[in-house]
Amino acid sequence: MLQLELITPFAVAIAVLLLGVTHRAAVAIALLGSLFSLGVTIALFSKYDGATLSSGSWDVSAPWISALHVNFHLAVDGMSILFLLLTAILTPISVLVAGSTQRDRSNVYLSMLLFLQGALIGVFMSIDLVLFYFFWEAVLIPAYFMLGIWGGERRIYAALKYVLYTMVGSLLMLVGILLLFALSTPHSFDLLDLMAHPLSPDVQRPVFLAFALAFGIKAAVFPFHSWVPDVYGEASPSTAIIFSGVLSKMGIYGFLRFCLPLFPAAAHYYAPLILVLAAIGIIYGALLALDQRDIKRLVACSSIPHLGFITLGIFSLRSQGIEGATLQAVNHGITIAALFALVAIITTKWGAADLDKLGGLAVKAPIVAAIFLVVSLSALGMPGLNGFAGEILILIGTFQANAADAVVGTIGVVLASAYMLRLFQGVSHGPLGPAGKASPDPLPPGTVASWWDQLSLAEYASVLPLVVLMVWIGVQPAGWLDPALSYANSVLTALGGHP
Amino acid sequence: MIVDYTVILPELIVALSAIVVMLADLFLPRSQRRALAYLSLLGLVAAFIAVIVLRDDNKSGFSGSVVLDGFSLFTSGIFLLVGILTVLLSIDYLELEHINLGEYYVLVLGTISGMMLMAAANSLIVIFLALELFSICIYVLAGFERTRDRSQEAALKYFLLSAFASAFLLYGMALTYGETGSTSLPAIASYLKGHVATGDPILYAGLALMIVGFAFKMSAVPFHTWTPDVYEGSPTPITAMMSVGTKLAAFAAFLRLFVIALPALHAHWVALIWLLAMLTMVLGNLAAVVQNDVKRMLAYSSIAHAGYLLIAVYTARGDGSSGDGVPSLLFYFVIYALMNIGAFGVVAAVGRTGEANTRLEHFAGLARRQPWLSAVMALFLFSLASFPPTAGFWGKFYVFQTALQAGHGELAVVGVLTSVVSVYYYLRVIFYMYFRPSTDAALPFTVPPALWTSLIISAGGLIVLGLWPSGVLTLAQHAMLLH
Repeated sequence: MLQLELITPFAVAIAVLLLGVTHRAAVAIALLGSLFSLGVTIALFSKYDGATLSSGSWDVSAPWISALHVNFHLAVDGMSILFLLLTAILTPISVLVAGSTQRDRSNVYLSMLLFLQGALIGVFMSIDLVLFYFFWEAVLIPAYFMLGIWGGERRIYAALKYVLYTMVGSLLMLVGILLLFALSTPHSFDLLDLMAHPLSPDVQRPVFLAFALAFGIKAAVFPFHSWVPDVYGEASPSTAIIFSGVLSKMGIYGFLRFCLPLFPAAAHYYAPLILVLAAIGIIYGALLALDQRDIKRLVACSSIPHLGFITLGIFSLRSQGIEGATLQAVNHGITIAALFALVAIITTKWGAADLDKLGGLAVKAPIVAAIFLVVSLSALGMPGLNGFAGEILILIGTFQANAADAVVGTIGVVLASAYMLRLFQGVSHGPLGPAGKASPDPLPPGTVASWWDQLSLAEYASVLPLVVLMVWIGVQPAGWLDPALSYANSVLTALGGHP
Repeated sequence: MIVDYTVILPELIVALSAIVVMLADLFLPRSQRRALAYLSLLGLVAAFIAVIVLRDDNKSGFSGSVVLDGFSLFTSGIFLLVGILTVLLSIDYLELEHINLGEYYVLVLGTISGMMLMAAANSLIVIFLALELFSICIYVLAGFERTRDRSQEAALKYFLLSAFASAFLLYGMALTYGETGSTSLPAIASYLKGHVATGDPILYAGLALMIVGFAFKMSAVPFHTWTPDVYEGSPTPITAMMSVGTKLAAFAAFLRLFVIALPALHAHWVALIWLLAMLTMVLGNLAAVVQNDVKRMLAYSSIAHAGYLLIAVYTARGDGSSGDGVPSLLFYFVIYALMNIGAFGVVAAVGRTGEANTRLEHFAGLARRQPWLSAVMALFLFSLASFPPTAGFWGKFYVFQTALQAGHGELAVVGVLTSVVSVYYYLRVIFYMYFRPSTDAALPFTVPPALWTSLIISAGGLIVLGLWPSGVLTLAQHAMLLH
């Protein structure tokens, strides 16, 4: 089952590259392949029975490079199944958005996207640290091409910035992995072995830092956030969705999967510092978002405070915080993907991304505006939608750890309302903006386009499933929280204390 | 006394095929010169088969001055691979440049046999003879394009500086011989074991002079200054061969000499290696950043890689223990050979007549004109930058792992940070190929089949070793030095 989950995207990537001779064929193959992958993941999720990594119900292990003590060890637990699900949901969305927004060498782009998905699935399932690193770095190759070939004007700068930024962190993490191997007794790269024999507290700190730097850069923790506006702003819509939705979660996943259980003492030692950084990131990112006129960059900046929130929950080192952070990682992926998809729809329709030129969406296309409203409310954490459940748990956890950080986080929620509503109002309300007036409109003034004219089928298909998920998780979070809770409990035993 | 020629069987096959090629050249008509390349390939493949047949042997011959052990067989395998790839790169290159002369292949085979002999040498005299054998061949090959000034300049520079370095080496050997009374490596070792605390300045001077000589051939900083000019000026297939072969020969002989003969002075020479490794990694990578010519950038990158290889020398103990650098060095060289010769092969294809098109802007928009050539070049560059899933990752991984297990985190950390710098200049070529439109200077060209064969061998090897490095790794771990 796990092998199928891992191999499918790579197989589809090759099929798209070789068979996707026309744009339509490439999109069709990629869509079918990614939907199949989604089916496999849902089947996996539905069989989830509260297993933890060590209980070994989903575990594949085979020798790979015995000379270097590296094993092909995959396993899945409640936390990683959520990240796998997020990847599987956002890939077909990304394919659909790519299908309707870009036509240049589609087969190459889509095969890169699926290669990226395969590497991400590898990241989220690897238990052997070298295997994990192998996939972690392999992500960068398609990422580099996706940013550099299909993007905005400053795409080359963005691509190089992203790769170099993450390389600094990742290569130091490689040293950390090697150090962990050299220091552990018996020598091992296997997460389960390493958890069973933790390092002594004073050695944990440098290794923890090497890991945390890599994850912090990927998760855009303040002060390592400066790549975010450039990269998401210059990326094509489809790339922005998979990057902001899933790639940024690699860092979150790394914190949860490796930093906490492997280095409990160091996690306790550095948690206050990271909480402060996360709190700064929440406020700073929110102010950045408030300052943007370009709606794509605004959405890009909005992900900095959200990721700060998730980091806050993780390093509260409390059950509710970790549980909420895990759920919020999924929530943020869904919400930011929907936001970027809507931004792509609006900018292609009206040819402008500047708030000064937009406006009046609710007049011309009320259905799009309604969808936009739901997504914006989800992003600002409205009760009844997905964002609320995660945020409230994170805040409860953080209050137990450090009340001051939690207060700052709460201010962040208020600021989030400010920039999200400013975005929504700027686009939807008011009179028709200059961009809307300039675009050719066959309808007489005062009339509203029918629902099939407002959005194409592919556009509906790329946004509506996400809206359904937002409502579903918002109303019924228990089914999503159970796996997260079982992970939070298992990691708390490793951390020792504060149940 | 019966001489056991099987000790040097692979070397002998290559040397004999050089003679066969030379004789065939006399009788073949001009139009049939391609046959000489195929003859050379035949000789190299035959020698490779000999290496496989002899794989479990462990013996010495010629009064102990040459050894056949796992180490020499493994290095021979790499040299023969280098030879095969070089010949494949050369076939169409020579025709394009109108220098299709039979001597070329004779000299290439002479170079390869000299390099193989150097890695098998167990005496100071044989080390020096082998070094001169391949160096003299390379002097000629570097200047083989008689009508191109750059090639002439490369040959002269290499000749003068290399002769100088050889003199250093020879002087060091003479001092070592004067102190220990023997040129045989095991004899030197056993002498020093008895006189370990002598602290004799003559021996230290000899040690330092020999390190200078070897460091020159390794192109380790600060003895690297010849490298960019010589690599840039030489015919590209020769550059490809030198960048891997000369280095490996120097590293192999260095390991044998210093690990087997001079373990008593380990603490002294290893400190110098530490310094060389640091300098080479930092300066090699930083200098590569500012290059706008891809061939010259690859020259600096080969200096940088010498730095990573020096880490493996630093941790080398030759005893096969878990932190031993010898297997990591051998494994790195296999991968380095594939990716570096591959990258130079692409440069040869893009450069075309007179190598006039090797600057970055000539690579602009290559992905649209030559999608497959760009794809393999991207693979080579990602591998040089040590990205998984390419084999380059495992090469560095293993080297850094041994460094950390030997307790030298500082080498690994500097190695890692300089690797980030290297990502910048390797990816720059990729963004020219993929993200930039073609310039007006971009003319259409075709890639000849022999060159393609070489590129496919390299690219295929890198993918296979990236996903399943286990086989070659195990071989490298069993390639012990014969003590």
